[in-house]
Amino acid sequence: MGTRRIHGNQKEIRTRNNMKTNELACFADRRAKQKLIELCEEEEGISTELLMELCSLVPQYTGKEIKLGLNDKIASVIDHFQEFSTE
Amino acid sequence: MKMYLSKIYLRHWRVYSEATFHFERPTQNRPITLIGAMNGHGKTSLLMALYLGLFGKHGLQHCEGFQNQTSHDKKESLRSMKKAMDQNFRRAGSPYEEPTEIELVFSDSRPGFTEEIRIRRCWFFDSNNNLRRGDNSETLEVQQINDQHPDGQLLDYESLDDAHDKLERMLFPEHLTPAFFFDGEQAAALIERMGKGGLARASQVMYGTDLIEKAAECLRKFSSTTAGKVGGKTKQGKLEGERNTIDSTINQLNRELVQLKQKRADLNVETTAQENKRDKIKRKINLLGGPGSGDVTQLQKAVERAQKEESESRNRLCNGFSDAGLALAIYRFKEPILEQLKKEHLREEYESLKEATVSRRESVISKAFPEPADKDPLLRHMALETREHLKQRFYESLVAIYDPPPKDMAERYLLGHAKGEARERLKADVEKAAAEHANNLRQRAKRYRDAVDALDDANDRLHNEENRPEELRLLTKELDQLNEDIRNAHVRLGELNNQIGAKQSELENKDKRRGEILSQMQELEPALKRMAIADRARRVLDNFSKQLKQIIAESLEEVVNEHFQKIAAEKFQKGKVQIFDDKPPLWKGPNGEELHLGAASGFERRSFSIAFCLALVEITKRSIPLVIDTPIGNADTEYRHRALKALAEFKLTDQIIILTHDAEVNQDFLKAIEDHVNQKMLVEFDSQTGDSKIHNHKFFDFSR
Repeated sequence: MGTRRIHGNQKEIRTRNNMKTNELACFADRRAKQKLIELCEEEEGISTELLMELCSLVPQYTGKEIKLGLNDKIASVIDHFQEFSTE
Repeated sequence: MKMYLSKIYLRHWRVYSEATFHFERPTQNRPITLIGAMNGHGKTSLLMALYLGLFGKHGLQHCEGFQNQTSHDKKESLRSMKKAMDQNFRRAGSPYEEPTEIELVFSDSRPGFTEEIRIRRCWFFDSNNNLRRGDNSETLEVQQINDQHPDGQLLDYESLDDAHDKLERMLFPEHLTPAFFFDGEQAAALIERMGKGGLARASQVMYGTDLIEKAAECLRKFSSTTAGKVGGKTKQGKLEGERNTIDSTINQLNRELVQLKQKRADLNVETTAQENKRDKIKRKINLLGGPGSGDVTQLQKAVERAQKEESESRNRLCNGFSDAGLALAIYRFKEPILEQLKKEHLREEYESLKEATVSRRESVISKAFPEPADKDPLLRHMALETREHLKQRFYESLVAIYDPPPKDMAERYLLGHAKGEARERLKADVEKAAAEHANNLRQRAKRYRDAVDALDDANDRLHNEENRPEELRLLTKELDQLNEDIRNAHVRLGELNNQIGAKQSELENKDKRRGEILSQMQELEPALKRMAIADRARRVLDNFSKQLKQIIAESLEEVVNEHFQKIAAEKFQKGKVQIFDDKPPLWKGPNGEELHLGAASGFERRSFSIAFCLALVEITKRSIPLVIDTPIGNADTEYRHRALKALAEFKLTDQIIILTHDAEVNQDFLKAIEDHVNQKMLVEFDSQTGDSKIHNHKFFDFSR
């Protein structure tokens, strides 16, 4: 089985919740990732993994306009994350 | 997917009439493919084929001689493409009906993986072998082969521009092509472009910052849509306000209920005590001869009232008798009158029958004794005298039927004026008059009897009371008082129960409403939580997006410097390359001296380009094949070693295609990188056919 390519800028990773997600190229940068973790976990108190999962939805649901179902998917990702969150 | 360029097919393209470069799957230790070609044999043609094959008119600006072309104006770009095709890229002498064709295949470099992206671009020509005008001059076919679509799926696009955007997303941004496929010229152009917003565009597409912004926008829309759907915080605020009011009302009601119930309990205790006391008094009274009738004064008043009632009812009865008059008389004689009327009725019937018989005697006799006698067949032999006697007897017998008259018949008519219907009416009138007056009198009599009884009773009670012992009278008085108190207590208990019921009903209503509110809040809560999280994520993305450009510049700068210092000449190693978003990168020396890299020598430009492309690959972790045309040129020996070593030992990309000529990678340098070379190819131009041919696994023969 090959790795599913979702977006040119992304590679597939798995979160601690074992949900498939895609990491944007900027998240792969050491400095950027550090900044992102700082913003997520220290400033806003949310998980970086959740943020990456939310970002991974964008290429699937956006083009010239936002496709139907994105809001449901965002809600589902947040709910799923809350369910498994240790916070 | 880790990509490597597995195939380049060229047809009617510059020096190639038809040629296919098959690139073997590179390995980590052997990433280098060496393509040897003397100057003019097809190295640059190959590089140009990559630009145009990938990005068509957009790639034209990276080709030598077309750097100033713009792809924004459609007419202008079509004109430029026509010029480029007609004058530069279309192989001279190609059959006009056959298109110029470039096919590029990118494959997954991991062993066992079969994912591919195939890009096939064709240009069509008219009978003069000039590029056709208009949109039908060029076609593009992009096919993706993966697990889901093993037979390939064609990319769906609306226009070539749309396809261009999608290709950029799949591979890399077009303007960064010179970062991956370059020679000295492209390196210089790239450096210039970096200072004109190139870095921002690079970060947008290469790093996905545009997606960060889109994600933030999506989250913003999610929050506003959710807020619109569920009412958001305003609704929550209202519900909380109402719940607080209800909570305080419920608390107040509960307090009041507790007080009321306490009052009821106290009253119950008090009443029970009074009832126990009353039972004791009743038992004492019974022991003393039974309960009294109460207060003497009250009893005297009762006697007076009874006397008055007796007197009035007696008078009414007497008056009733005198008022009744005839009706009373009728009532008194009703039976004889009705009896007389009945008898008179019988008499009337009797007389009527008798009279009818007598009056019809003659005709009856004449039937019995028809005349003349001698014609009578039955009695014609009878003597006439006998016959007359018989007639007489029969005549008398008819009258004798009514003798004697009925016993019940009236002897004479006393009420003879009323006969037939008049008699019946008289009977009804008598019955009615008798009944009405009888009832009236009966009621008056009954009332009178009751009044007499009440008077007797009152007199008896008064008598008993006046003759009771003092203790019994006191006990009776106390009992009366207790009865009154208990009655009042029960009235108060009833009122309390009503109040408690009303409060409980109100409490139930409030509880019900509270439940509804809590239910609504419960429904609202997950949505609000989601909104809060989405808002936090959006703030992170907004802040991240603002800071990303600087972070990218810093990261690029750091990694570019690492690679640059490995490759560049010694004097540059002490300084530092600085990358900006708004101006081209420059090198800053240890003493503050500055060198614009775009204006630096060819070696430094190439050093920077190699360092830049390696840095991009390293930071973005995107395995993009590097195609470098004469990376080291005829630089000094030391530089060539460093540059080749840096490329050969770079582990983060799978494929480095080096286009070179025999004076560049000579025998010595080839030996130095031999261990990292995966494949060698030689392109030779045949001057007789005017065509370049590819010789796989062959390189320059250095032995000659």
